[in-house]
Amino acid sequence: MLAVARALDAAGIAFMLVGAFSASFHGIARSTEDADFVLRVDDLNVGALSRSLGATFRLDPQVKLETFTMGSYYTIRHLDSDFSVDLFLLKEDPHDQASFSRRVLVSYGAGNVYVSSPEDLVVTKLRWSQGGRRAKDISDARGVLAVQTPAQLDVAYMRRWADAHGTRELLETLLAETPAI
Amino acid sequence: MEHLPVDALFREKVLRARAAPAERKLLAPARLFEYARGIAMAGIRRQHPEATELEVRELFRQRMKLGRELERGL
Repeated sequence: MLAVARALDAAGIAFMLVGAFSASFHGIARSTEDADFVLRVDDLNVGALSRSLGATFRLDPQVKLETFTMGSYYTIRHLDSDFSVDLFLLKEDPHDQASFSRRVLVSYGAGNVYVSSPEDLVVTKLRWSQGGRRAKDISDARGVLAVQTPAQLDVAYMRRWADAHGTRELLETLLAETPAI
Repeated sequence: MEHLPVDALFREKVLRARAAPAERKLLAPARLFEYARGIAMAGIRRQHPEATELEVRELFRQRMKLGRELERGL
């Protein structure tokens, strides 16, 4: 995952780590078989990125469509570990745009990575949770709310987007159920 | 071994997450995947003792695909 982040950075592509990695960063860690990045790029140079990643990665040059969120994405497979990385192209969707503009810079030993903010992670998880039926989305959102605590979060921001996405009731339920630790 | 109630376990997870350094939190999902993959492949080897390493990996990929399909079928 960090090798892909470094390759994107070297290519000058603005990116944001989302999904399970962001949920694990802001909330409670869990396993996942893939990492999801959102890229702000007009035209992805697949060949150059592929070369930059090296021989242990395979970047499928064919763009795919995620039918649920209607996102376009490329897939990279790490040949040694079966781990995959999906590169989603930033959509015009208002929340996706807002989320990208609020991404958080995380510095670690070997470099920097941008991840989605905890608020945007919760808003997105609730949006695609199919009314709360996708257990891992709800579990991820609950973990973020518990680790960050409502006092550290911009709850009004989450409420605005939850209203726009029709998930306000779900958000209020999670906020009410999250234990104060 | 002392058995903790579920809410105490959740509390422990939250406190551990707050205390973890950024790099460990960033890498945790991939590290946990490697761990889960190792266990799953050991299970496949036990179930299919005749399988070669290449076959074990292919069976593991099939299991991951099945997992994704089950998740989508919710």
